[in-house]
Amino acid sequence: MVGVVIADLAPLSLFALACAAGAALILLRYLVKRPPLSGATKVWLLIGLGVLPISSALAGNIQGFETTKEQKVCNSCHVMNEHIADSIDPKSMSLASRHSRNKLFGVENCFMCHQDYGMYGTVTTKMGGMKHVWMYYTKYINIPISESKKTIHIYEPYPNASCMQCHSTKLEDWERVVEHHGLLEQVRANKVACASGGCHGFGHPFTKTPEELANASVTWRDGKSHPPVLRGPLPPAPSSLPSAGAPR
Amino acid sequence: MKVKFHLNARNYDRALRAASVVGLAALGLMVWSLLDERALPIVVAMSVGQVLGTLSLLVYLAVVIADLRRARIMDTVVPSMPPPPPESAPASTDSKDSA
Repeated sequence: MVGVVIADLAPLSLFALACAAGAALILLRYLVKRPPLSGATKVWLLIGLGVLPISSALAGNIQGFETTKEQKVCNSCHVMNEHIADSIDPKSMSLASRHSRNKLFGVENCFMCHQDYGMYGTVTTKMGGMKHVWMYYTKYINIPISESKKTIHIYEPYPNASCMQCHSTKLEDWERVVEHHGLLEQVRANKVACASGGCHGFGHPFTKTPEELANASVTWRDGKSHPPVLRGPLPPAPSSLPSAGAPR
Repeated sequence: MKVKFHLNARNYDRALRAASVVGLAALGLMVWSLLDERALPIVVAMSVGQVLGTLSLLVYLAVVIADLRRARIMDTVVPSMPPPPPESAPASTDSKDSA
């Protein structure tokens, strides 16, 4: 059992555990033997209280930061169980599940879509995650999942900037989709949601009510009513592609 | 001359034992977070665990610094103390004097 657990650990975790074990041995020996405070005792305690614990903390912190990106951490709160189950379901056609199948997303699929971007994106994401943990243990730990679907929402509407980290909106193929072409500026300005019922579908549709799913339409961020999306003229087909008989 | 120390040798031992226990608790939290990869253990290890570990190291450093200061003061105090009175000189047995 222990061997299986240790075999699953990352090298950094093993290093942190080894440092912690070494420090613990030194401290336990000091507590049991109670040697006088000689120079040798000071050096041993420096290793047991300073060098090894700091090494363990550094490695453990790095590993901890990496671990918090993984879906198993999100899944440790019961209100996220259905989100994870849907995202890893190969039969699901939700937006989250379709993206999770991408090998680049892997076990970090939650973090990949919900992280903040920019220089301090990881830090702000972690701070948001701390808030999630606090809210979970102080408010939501005992609510049933059916209730959590109605009461728990992300703090702000899902930003298009997160989608645009991969989908740049600048490729010709992307612009040749009529809806993209008609809403190009609005999409880039985050005025209309990519992850909405009328466009690419909700990220986690099982959290929506049947009414929300039935009335799905293009979601505008400003809350005003808008006329139907105007589909502008398509750009000309790319001329750079060589035709079959064209001279090379 | 009376020299006062905030930490005497007995207190050093007590403080270091307390630091060791606190350090062990911090290590326990770190190990918990590495073996149980849920949000709570990781958050606790990276907050409470870090505080406890830092506290134990600070106590150790305080004890070592106090001990070094005590040793330095003792080094300066002891040489300045008057030397012990010389023992009474033994009676001379020089044969020349007696001659």
